[in-house]
Amino acid sequence: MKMTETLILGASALAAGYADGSCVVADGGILIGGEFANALHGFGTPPSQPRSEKARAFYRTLETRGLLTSGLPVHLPGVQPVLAKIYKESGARMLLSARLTELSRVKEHFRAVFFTTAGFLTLNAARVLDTTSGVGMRALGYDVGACTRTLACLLLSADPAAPLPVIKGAEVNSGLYPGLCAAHFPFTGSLTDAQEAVDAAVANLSPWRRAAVAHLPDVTPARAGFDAGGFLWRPSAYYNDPISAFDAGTALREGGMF
Amino acid sequence: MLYSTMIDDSLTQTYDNSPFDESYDVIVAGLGTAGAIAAILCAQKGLRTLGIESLACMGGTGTAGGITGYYHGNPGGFYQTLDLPRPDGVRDAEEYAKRRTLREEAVHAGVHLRFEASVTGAFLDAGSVHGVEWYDDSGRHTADARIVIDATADAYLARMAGCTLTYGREADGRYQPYSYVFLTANAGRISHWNIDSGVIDPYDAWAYSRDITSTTCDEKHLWEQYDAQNLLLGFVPIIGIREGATVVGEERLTLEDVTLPRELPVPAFYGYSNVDHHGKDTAYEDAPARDWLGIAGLWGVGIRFGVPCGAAVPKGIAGLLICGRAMSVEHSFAPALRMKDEMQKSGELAAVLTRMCVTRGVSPAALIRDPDAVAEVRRELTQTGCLRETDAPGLYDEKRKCPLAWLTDPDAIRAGLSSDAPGLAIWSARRERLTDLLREWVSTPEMLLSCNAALALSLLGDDTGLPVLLRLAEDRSGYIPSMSRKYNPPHAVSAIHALGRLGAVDAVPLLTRIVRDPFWTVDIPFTPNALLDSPETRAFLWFTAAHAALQHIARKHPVLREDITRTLRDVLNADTFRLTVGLKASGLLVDAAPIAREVFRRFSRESV
Repeated sequence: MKMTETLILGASALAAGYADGSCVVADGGILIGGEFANALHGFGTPPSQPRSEKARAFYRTLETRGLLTSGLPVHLPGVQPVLAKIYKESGARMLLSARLTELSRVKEHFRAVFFTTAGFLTLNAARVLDTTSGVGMRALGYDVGACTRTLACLLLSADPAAPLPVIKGAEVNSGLYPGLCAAHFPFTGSLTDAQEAVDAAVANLSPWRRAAVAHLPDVTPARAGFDAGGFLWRPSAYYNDPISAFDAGTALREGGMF
Repeated sequence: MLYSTMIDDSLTQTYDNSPFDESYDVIVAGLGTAGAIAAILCAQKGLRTLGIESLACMGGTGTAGGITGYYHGNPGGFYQTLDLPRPDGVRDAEEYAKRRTLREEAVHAGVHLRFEASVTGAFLDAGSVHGVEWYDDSGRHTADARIVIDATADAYLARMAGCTLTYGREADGRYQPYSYVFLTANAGRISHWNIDSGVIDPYDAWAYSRDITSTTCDEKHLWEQYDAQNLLLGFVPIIGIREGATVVGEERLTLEDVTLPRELPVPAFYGYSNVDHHGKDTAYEDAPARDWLGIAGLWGVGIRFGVPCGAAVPKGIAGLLICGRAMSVEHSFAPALRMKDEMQKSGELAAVLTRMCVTRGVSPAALIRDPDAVAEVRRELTQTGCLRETDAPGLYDEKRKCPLAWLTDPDAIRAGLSSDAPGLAIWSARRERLTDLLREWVSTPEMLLSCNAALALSLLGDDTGLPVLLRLAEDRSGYIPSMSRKYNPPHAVSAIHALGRLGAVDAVPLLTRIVRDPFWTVDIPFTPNALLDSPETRAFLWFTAAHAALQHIARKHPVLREDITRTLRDVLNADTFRLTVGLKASGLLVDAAPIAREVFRRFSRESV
């Protein structure tokens, strides 16, 4: 079986900064950059001067398309198609809807087994970059440490001047555009329960109303990462915004971190 | 016990006698449109039920997938009690309300739910499915059951169990286009955009991933400019696949069975739809769809059809039932058996069959061979309105908003063939086998009657109308009949389909000219419409029709095969060869050259 140079876990914003034609990028779902675009992680304001040229180009793309204004948060739902274009142009091989069922070290490389739409699929990789909130870490038996788990909900108001809603137990952040904000609800149980609870919690917030409840949880690790000889954990959701995460990915690539 | 799964797209079976972790009467794999209903009803019928779903919610395409409204379909059945009525009468199931209702019903009925879990294997013994394997975040699990229902929509479990399946169309194995739904807000109004995005192969993990990545950043999904009035709110977590593999069942639904006078099995419920094919490459479709859509132009005619119990019962594998769009239906009719009403009804059918199999201790195949049992299934489905005897098979004219009936009177057929909406008359003439009259009408000076009679004759395999068809194709007529509310094929393209169907040797020079220069046809003025949205698409229609016709002629006349193959190879391999098509319902331009090359590649490898 042909050896993949780098197997990246998570089609994340960080992975997009790292990926090139030598990589396979595997994700459990189909939502590219889902930790930001769907889970709405951070909802933060990115640095206006990212470190790498590649990240600056990403910044400019978001800016040109109206998804980012200096000093304001990124319009996160718009990030997904931009990242998809970056992945497409990177030459990385994408493997979406791929559930990692096994990850192990075999001598000098890694063996990863995914369950995909074609059934089980085995990949051998010289190294693994885990950009998820710990899928690869856990599969290898490493401790991910503490994580905060929230579920986000996009809220929309017909009145652009409406003050942000106050929701008990949730953090509410304004979006890039007037009349749009995100509420982040901490949760500990199942995603299914959390989605229903969030939907119920935003039922009567006039003039605000629910635009979309996230399909993915926002899982933010307390740790910046972990390095174990050929296996590197750099959770994209550790960063506060997609530009910073992307920039971290380019730094890994340029710095030869493996 | 035989553990059966797919590894690298190949069926792999090994012996595994480990004990199961859990035990149920029935396991439902996939809790989407069909599976959610199946699981709830199985539990309500007193069966110990396990439901496994890859998403975090129930309802699949109808909830998380963003397709909340109804399109076509024949309403009726248990699922209607779960759809909250809207004051304006529009049939729509609000996403979050429906998924909450489904889950509440499932929990109340006692369904054991496993979300964010993938069914990864089947356990078989003596040709019967006895259990499944699944993975979730906590690892691997197994359970046995007396009946397993594959409600994965793409027959993933049936594949793993070794069922016989059919994959797409014969010419190249392709399916209908899929959608990648996204949400927007415009002036405070939230909308789901369900637009055709390309063609996907659900069973090729790499191509599947590549295509989704490409679609996510195509011009319909990645906009040049976003603003406060035109907000992108995000994407749904599953793509809208309209068609995947279908199981070969004890009974199989076919387009010709429901539109030609044939004896049909007793229906378990009735469905309704037009043959809602989303592709424009009708020429590469299987013969029944080519005839219905391409020659008769009947895309817009709605059909009410019966779905027999046997469509849910895979042939040769016991212990397994199918609900959803992977039921036993031929590719040409799959575009009609995929609407939400029917998918939910199929879940109800699967639940009733399961209850009877479990209580009687028989296999699904044995059950449906017993007329008394089928009668009991039908009685049970009648109680909820899933089966209504008043829903007799029939036709509906979606353009003129009125019921239609097959024509039997030759005078009425003649009048229909003389009109600019001849489709029903063309098919009726085929049904009535009016060969002699059609031969007579072909030679009349009445242009429409003559041309349409020639098309009808081609469906009967009669080449009396060949000169008329040749003339029609040769003059590159821009005339388009008006049978359907949209997607009516130009008369000349229908004629080319008919020439191919007849294996018309005399047409080879003309068809060769068209494939060599498909834009030869576009100098005739035309008004863009839903089918012909650009000169490129127009050239595409003529090219694909001529290409497919040449291949059909070569099959009928082996002596011509070498020449035709050489011609097509020269055209398709030329560096200058370009072919593009605008997708239906999005206009997205797609490079169609690889489609034509794949159709030819398979043709050139056929054994003669």
